[in-house]
Amino acid sequence: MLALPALRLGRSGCYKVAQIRAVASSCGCSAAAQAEATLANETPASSASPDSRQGGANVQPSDHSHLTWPVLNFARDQVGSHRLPRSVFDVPIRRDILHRVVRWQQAKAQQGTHATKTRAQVRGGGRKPVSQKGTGSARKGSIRAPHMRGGGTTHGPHPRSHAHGLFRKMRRQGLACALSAKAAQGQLTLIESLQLDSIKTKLLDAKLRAFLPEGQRRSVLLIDSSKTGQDGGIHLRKAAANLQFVDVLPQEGLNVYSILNRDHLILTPQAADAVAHRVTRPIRRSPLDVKPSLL
Amino acid sequence: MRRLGILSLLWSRASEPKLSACCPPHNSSLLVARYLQSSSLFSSGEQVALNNLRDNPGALKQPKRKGRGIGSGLGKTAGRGHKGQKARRGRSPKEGFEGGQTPLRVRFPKRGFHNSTSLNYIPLNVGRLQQLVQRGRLEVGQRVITMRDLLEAGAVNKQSTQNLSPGVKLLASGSKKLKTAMHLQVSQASQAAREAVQRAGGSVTTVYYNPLGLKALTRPDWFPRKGRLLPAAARPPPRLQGQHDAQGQLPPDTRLPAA
Repeated sequence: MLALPALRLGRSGCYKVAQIRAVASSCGCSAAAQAEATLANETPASSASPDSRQGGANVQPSDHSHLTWPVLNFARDQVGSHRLPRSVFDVPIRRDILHRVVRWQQAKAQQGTHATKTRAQVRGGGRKPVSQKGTGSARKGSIRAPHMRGGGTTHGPHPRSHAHGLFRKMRRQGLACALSAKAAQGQLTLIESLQLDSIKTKLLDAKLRAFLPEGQRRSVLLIDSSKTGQDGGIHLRKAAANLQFVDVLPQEGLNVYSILNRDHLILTPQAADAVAHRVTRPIRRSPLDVKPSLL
Repeated sequence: MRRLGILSLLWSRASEPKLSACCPPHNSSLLVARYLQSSSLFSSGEQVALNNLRDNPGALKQPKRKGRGIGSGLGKTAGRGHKGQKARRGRSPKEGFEGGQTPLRVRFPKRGFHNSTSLNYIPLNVGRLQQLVQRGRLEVGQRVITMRDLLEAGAVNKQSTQNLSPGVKLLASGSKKLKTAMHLQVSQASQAAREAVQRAGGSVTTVYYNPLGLKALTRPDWFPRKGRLLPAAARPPPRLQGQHDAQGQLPPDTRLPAA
């Protein structure tokens, strides 16, 4: 797993550009290096230029509301850049929010089929085993009473839903935190397209091994725009179906648990836009009411 | 700080505690250290993964488990003491019992009545409509505005009643501000409001929908989702006959009236 070396705050409370670049290059992750070099560009004291591996592509500097993130292809060449809103991809990473969202997801996913039999459900036990009086022993009404061997269970588990609620704002914040965490750790990559020429698991495996930074395990979540989309689609899903630690989700299915479950997150630009739109659009409005001018 | 973007992992001004205002200076470094220890933000070098998530300390309180053995301290009598009225199950003394004196609900005579046949329409003033048009939240001119459009524009909300029932009544406050021509279908309209809309070049048609009809009008997608058919619009009951310009239609006829 990728571990960032500890960053120290400068006296001014800011990171030093040299440190940022050192960290980025030690990660062996050129996407992160590129992004952070881009960030460094805007600090007045810096003279950093984009990574030469990117062919000197001229990336627009990030602004206050957006990050500029490089878009790569499967060969790791930079083919463009994309703007990611900071409100989704650069928020403070709250451990507690992530925890709550993951707990919420897991509670919803719990099957809840646990069951025990009560004294009424255990077979038999209709007959009074011994007469009420005269035995010198305790009174017994049924051989299936809870205190009897082989008897029913009192207050045992029964099938139920374990789901509980979570504020929609918190769910959204969780998703933004998870995306921001991957971005900050240099594990978020934008790829031009996840489309494969043929449905071959071997092909996808080779591409992913070549794509991920060297020495890092192939644990990756791939996000395309939809199951039938042009930027991934059915070819990708079939090719990835048997690859362990490779998950594929359409952008609607992107969720905190799946993100944190894998080391790397690879999105297509269309999917990133759709996720950002979903996370930032107003809550409690019908889809008909959301006018593009208001977004 | 904001310019540093993704590097705000370790430190965020927004979540920095305002210590200087409340604490003496000699104590502050200790408090900062303590804050960072319990901070919900990840420290640098720490991997964000499923195995190091946790809630804030003290965020959840475990419920007391009464009657679960001696070791719990709440075992035998479960904190209820020995015998008596308050040791029994249920609410005790019973709700509304005031120790023997005549309780409040018995002391005073009944007063007032509830009119179960009254219709409390949701008020909507024409000035508000003009405001929504100016803000781009209500689109006029393409078709007739139904109560669904009003709901989605936020002109009325259904928090107070079920499915907007019994409907929306158009009132005339702010009628001098109304300049946009709009064609409306609402449940009721005051005479002044109707005239104000007509002066601006529009029209008001009052239509009758029963509660189910209002649901079908405002949330038509609910019915196919539940595997049900969209209901037919109901005729007004005898006591409401003659109080509307037209019977509502499902789905509504939103063609603009011929000029």
